[in-house]
Amino acid sequence: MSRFPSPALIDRLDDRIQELDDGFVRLGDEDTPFTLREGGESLEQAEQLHSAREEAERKRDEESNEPVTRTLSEWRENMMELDFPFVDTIPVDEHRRRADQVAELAIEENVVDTIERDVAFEDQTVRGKYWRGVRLIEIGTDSDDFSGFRAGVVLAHEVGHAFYDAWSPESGIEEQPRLFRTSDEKKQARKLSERLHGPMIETDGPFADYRKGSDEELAAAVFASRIIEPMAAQRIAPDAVRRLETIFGDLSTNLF
Amino acid sequence: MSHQPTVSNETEFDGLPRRLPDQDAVLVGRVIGSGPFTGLAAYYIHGQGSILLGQYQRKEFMPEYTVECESRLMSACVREFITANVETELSSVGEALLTAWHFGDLTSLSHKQAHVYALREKAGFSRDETAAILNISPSTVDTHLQRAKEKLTAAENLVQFVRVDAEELADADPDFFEQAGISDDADSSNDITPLS
Repeated sequence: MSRFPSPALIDRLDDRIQELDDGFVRLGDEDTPFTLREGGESLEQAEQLHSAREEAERKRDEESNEPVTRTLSEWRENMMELDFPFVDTIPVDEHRRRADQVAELAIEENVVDTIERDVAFEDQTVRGKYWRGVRLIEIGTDSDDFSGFRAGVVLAHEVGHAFYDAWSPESGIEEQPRLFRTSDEKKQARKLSERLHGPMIETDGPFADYRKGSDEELAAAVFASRIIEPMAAQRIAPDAVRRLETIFGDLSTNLF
Repeated sequence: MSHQPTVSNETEFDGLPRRLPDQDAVLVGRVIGSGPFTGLAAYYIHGQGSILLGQYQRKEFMPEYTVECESRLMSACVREFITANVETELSSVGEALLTAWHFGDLTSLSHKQAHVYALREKAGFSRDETAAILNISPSTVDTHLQRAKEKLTAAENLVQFVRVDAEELADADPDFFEQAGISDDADSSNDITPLS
């Protein structure tokens, strides 16, 4: 399930969303292409610089995913090694195209039966759901959201749930391993989840935020990242991505 | 309009459905007492292999937290839930799964057999309900139950056998010791010869 924000964060919403000096608005403390929105003068200048580049170079840079900086001078000196948010990061239309492609494959492979888009969820925080019992995906996103909660990422995330479900044993009476087995894999998976959807909450007690503690939620996040921004996913979470590719790759030879 | 899920008619804890088929979820308990998790329902999610905690509203379970458990087994997850450092209450399915955990731990039953046996024989769930709770077919329930009963009967026979007095056994079946290759000769090979 994709929710904005994680329900446990609702009462801390103001703390987590910050208006920054350069006109960007950020969810959490890390700059990622998925947790930033808006932008001010520096964004306009970066757009001008970017549009002055040769078209082939511009396209190549947009398709790749490098670490993000909001510092214009830093980016200008090293455009191919760094990304400026919404300038040479992957456009949201491309997120959507990549997600649609993998969703189509999921239907072809009988991993998902139906996908419903533009669903009006009663719960205002929900952006997407995977109903495992009926293999239905529902998407209901808002174009004003951070891009980690918009159609592309949310759809890819829910398809990730469906692939996990297809891999996972159906019954809970057989001992089977989790997808992410080592602490490195889990740590890397959490990094990707936070990159896409912002910080997780640290709970005071015996239970963990479901995004953090659930193997399937982490798998869905790693899957979404691998589909939407494969280079960044492999750079940030090499072990987690490799493990996911091995497991999910067995379910469909056309997936990766 | 979003999907309208179906839920099972059987409810516990003032209206929480025992099963949520569209979410492959089975009610195992809830958090009671006082604290930040109080009142949350605990559902085991098949496929995911985890217990999630959250609110049930509008025929849907909305997860918020998870019980961190390395094992995907229903019974092991219930055990993890019940031993968490908060006050919890198990549902009838949760109680049966905890029994299954003990069976699996203390007897020679396999995990599959322990789960089926605890739900069918100890908690009294029907064949179809057991199948739905465990997400297996009714015929698989029969197979595991049959095998569990055979194992437990064999274990019971063994216990009775070791309790039987040797003389009673010899009287009842004079050929037993000979057939079993056990000699009553004092100079048997079991005698220990001290090392010189």
